[in-house]
Amino acid sequence: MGYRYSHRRKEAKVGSDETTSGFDPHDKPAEEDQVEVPEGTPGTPIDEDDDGDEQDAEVAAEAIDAADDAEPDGQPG
Amino acid sequence: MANPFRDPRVLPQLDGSATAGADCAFRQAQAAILWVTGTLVGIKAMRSWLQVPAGGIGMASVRRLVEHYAPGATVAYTTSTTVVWQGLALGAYVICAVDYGWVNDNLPAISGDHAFRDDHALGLFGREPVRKRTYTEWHDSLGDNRRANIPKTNSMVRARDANGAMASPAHGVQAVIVQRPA
Repeated sequence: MGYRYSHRRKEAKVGSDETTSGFDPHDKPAEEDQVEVPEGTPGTPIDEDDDGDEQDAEVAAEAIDAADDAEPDGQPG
Repeated sequence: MANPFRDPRVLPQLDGSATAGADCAFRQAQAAILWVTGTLVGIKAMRSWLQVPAGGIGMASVRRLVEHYAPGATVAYTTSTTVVWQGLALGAYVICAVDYGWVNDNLPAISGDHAFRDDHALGLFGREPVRKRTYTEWHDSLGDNRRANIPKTNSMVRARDANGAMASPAHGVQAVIVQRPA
């Protein structure tokens, strides 16, 4: 029984932790099959606002504050 | 129905099976089919139906899979980020190709494999304004928390980052938009 168990485990590991390219860019629909752009819905968002870095810093600071709040007192970091 | 994009039967991609490393596009098709139909279709069954026993697939095959297994869905292909964002605004699920080298260079905090730099398929869902910016949910089948520095399943990404990841210099934007029946 012990041998069979370890044998099954070994088989289950085959190919497990190696990411390979699972996307084939050449396997694509014909260009004429593309969807029409529907009207009346928003297009590509433009969010390159001037205060981007400042906002990023704000969001990061809030995330750190939230993490601090969630951490029980006396626990190592 | 539980969120199919967080379903433990869909994630993680690297589940120990022989084809796992190349299953990213199948995982996205699986999630989309589950979202539309409530039915989980196995990777082996999809590979068998497509007659692709190993290796990766592209958007033509993803589209065929969703149309076959979720016949009620509206499925479309696009090479335009404008159409992608319109689809997200309409509540569609978008399966898109990304350049994972770009992801690792620019978005390392949400990378599911810091050593992988090739083509990858993942999903986008939702379009949410946050402080004058637009975000979407990023469903990466490699984001399975298997290592300490890899996020678990889904992350929020800015529109410009999603667009940057989709704009592969090798193959441009390729995306399949899936909409559930009303």
